[in-house]
Amino acid sequence: MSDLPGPHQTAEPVVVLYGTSWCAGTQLIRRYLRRIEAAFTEKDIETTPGAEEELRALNNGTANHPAVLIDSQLYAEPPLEKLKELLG
Amino acid sequence: MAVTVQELQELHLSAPPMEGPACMQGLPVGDRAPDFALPNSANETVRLSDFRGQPVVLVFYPLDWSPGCSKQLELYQFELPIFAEYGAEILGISVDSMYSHGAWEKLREISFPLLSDFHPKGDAARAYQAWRENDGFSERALYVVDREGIIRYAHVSPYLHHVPDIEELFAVLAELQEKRTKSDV
Repeated sequence: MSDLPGPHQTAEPVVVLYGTSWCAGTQLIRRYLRRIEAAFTEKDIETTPGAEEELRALNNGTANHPAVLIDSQLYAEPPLEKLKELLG
Repeated sequence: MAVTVQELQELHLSAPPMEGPACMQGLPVGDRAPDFALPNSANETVRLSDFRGQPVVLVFYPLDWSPGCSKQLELYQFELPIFAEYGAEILGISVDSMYSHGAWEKLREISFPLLSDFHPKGDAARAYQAWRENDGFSERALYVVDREGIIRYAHVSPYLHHVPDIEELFAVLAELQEKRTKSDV
């Protein structure tokens, strides 16, 4: 059976939040994602092995955070309004 | 070309970083919170003692317009309904003038009071052991003052750009609310 969504199903976007424990922007996005009950993975770029390198690879060599990967598109330091537009 | 509102709202993203280790340790939990009388952006005097009977979150932050402060206050603005659930008032305090506060709060849509510790400069921050003499602004320091005026949570960020965990803050407010509920029964 295919894992692809059927005609009446909508695939949930794959969301990854890159941030740090001390960053207000990371906290803001985390709280927002929880509030809208979005499924997401969080990667602390200081404590998750390989996460900073992963972010740099996605973001032209910089580790600016918070950054949110939605499916294959990275949004670095996105305003909340942008995320609302993308995720509802 | 005229600058846009969005460009102004995002100024903090390209502003010089505000970093460096903390110099002060702040007041300890259990101390009586020093009263203060500071103007808000409308030049109305706000005193800590005006809020006796409800918890107050005091947010000392270095400067308007700066990177960490912009996001920290945006976080608290986003969570205002939660602060309201705990019956808590939140007050931002920095050395900026009331005019700077007025422009900044309008641009960043901050609706809780921003108080100006402008003259004598930094007096309130000094009273809370959060004044950075060499910089001319305060530490990033957070206090929760209970309804009797006693400090129940105190946090000075170890580095200026570090913002304390909001879950920790909410846990303290939840505890105060629970104690109050029990004492009211």
